[in-house]
This record gives sequence, C-alpha cells and structure tokens, in this order.
Amino acid sequence: MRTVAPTISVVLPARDEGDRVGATVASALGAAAEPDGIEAVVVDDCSSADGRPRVAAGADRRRTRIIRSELHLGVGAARNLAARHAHGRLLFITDAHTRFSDGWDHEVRRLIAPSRILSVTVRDRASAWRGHGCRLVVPHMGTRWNTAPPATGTRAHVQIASSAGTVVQRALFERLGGYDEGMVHYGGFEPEFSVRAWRAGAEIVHTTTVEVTHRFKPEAECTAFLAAARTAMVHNCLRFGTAHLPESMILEMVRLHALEYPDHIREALVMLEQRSAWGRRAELARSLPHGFASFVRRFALLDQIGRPVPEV
Amino acid sequence: MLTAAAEPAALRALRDDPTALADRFGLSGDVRDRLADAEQLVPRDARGEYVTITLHTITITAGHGL
Repeated sequence: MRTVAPTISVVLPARDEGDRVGATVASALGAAAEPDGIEAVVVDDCSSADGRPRVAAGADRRRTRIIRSELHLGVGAARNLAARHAHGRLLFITDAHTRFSDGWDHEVRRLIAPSRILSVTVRDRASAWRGHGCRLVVPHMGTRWNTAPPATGTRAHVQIASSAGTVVQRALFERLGGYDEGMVHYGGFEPEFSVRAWRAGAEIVHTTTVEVTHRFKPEAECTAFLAAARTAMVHNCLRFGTAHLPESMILEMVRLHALEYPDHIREALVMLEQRSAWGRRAELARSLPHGFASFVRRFALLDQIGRPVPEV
Repeated sequence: MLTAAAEPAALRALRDDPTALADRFGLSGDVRDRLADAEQLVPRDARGEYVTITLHTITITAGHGL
C-alpha cells in the first residue's frame, strides 16, 4: 500500500493499446531514479475487449490506476480525465506506446518551474530520428517537427510540445483548462494547448536531457488511421484557427481545408458551428492576457508560404 | 458566414469561385485578398492537382507521422 503521495503522475490515454500500456508503465517506473515517487494514470478510452490496457501484476500494477470510459472521449478529453485523477504535483503527459530515458524523473524535477512547460526529445524506436518539439504551420494549423536540437547553453523555447512528452505542473495545467474538449477525437490538441499556454503567459522549454522513444505507426496503419480520423482532424484545425488566428486569416484557412479535403469540409463546418467555435474565440480573447500576435512576434512566425502573419 | 459556408453552393464558391463568395458576403480588403490567394497555400503536383498536405498534430517529417 502506498504511504507516500507521488510527485509525478505519468498520464496517458489508451485506446486499443493492450500490452503496449504495460510496457510504457514498466519503462516509466524502471527508468525512474525514484520510482516510489511515480504513479501512472491511464484512461482506457473505450477500448475493445481485446485492446484494454494490460499492466503487469506487482509493483507496476500497484502504481497504476486505470480509469475506464465507456464513451470514446478522444485524446484531449481522455488526458483531461486522467489529470483529474492524478495525485502528483507534476504531470508527465505521454502516449501509450513510449519508453523513457534513464533518470527522467530527476531531470523533470530539476527543470520544471511553475509557469514552465517542458517539451522532451522524442525518438523514433526504429531509426536515429529525433524530434525537438514542433512549430506551427499557419493557416493550415498543423505542425512540423523541429529536427535540429536547440543550441546548447540557451533556454530553448519551442512553440509546441509533443503529445509524447509534455511535462507541466498540475496547477498550471488546471489553470490553463487542460486540452480543448471542443475538439474531437484526434488532431490539434497539443498545438492548441501550447499556443494557449503561450498566450496565458507560460513558456515551453525544450530539453534534450529527457528522451521518450515513441512507436510511430507503420505507413499502412497510418493511412488507415488518417482515413478514419480525417473529418475530426479538419474540424479540429478549423476550431484551432478560429480560436487563435487573426480574423483576416480565418476564411483563408477554411478555403485551404476546403481545397485539400473536399469530402470532409462540409461536415467539419457543421461541427464547427455546433461546437461554438466563435464562442470559444471570444472566451479566450477575454481570459488570456496575450493575443496571438505576441506568439507571432516571439517566434517571428510567417505563414506556410513565407508571408507575414497579419496583426488582425 | 462560416455557417453559410456549409451550404453546397457556398462550398462550391469557396473552392472554385472565391470572388463570388466574397461578393455574396460583402468581404473586402485583406480578407477578400487572402481568400482569393488561398490556392497558393496548397501545393500541386505535376498535373496541377492539389496535393494534400498531411500536416497534423504529429507531423509527417522525413516519414515520421503518427
């Protein structure tokens, strides 16, 4: 029986991940310098019977809580649910198919600060590739990986922390309101959260001293996944852009998606209205101290063909 | 306006005739210009067909996607 509250909660959504969850938990605990300070909080996001999270009996299982959702929440709402059940002061948000570098918890405790989100290095388990946070692509509202490591000796601000490795104090996560549950299922949650964090006055700092090795889907699996998720992803991009972009760019964004995804745009626009995207924009304008323009200036952001981003 | 964009006629104009869409909704200035120029954002292949940019939360970079 646990007598000491954990300081770090490893938070992950899992939908049909099965044994991969147990391997992730085992890695997080096995690689930790102080495993007694770690708990895992898993949201079983309406997995099928064969795909439910499986964690080995013993120490791993004692340090793991699995919350079952009978509805498909999607990654954002699932992470929020896991965070609500977390006991740790720090949240290490990751995916259900990752491996942790040795001593990760020591580094996280050393580097975190009240208004700081850590972005950790993401490795591909099948190659030498590494990602060092992401950057925003506007007006599409997608992202690109940073593949060059940040310069040493500097505080490496990045625009977006990856879903595979985002570390944040639970108090800050709650103050920010977690991930946007107006988005659906998959796509856009992490960049929207990151941009909102920047607008709220937090910073996102990348570290190369913590690495998470991630299982990227093989091409065939990726293609099938995207085919099923595309409408949700189009909607989420539109909602993200409606929430944050200068107003003069919003229609441009919509037309871009209409050109690229003609079979998905109508349903995405209907969802956008039903889920009150403009209300969300107004709410963020009232509550956040900084506009999107501050994010643009900080990172000298240009649009995806190199043009300046307008102020309004 | 975005609600109206879900109508089939408006969607066709959004894709193929942004000038008509801009006229219908009284758009002017930078919004109108950016709407018209949005095609520049979408790459085309050698046949002139639009190429889907598979950009999403975990991005396709050097083959690393989801």
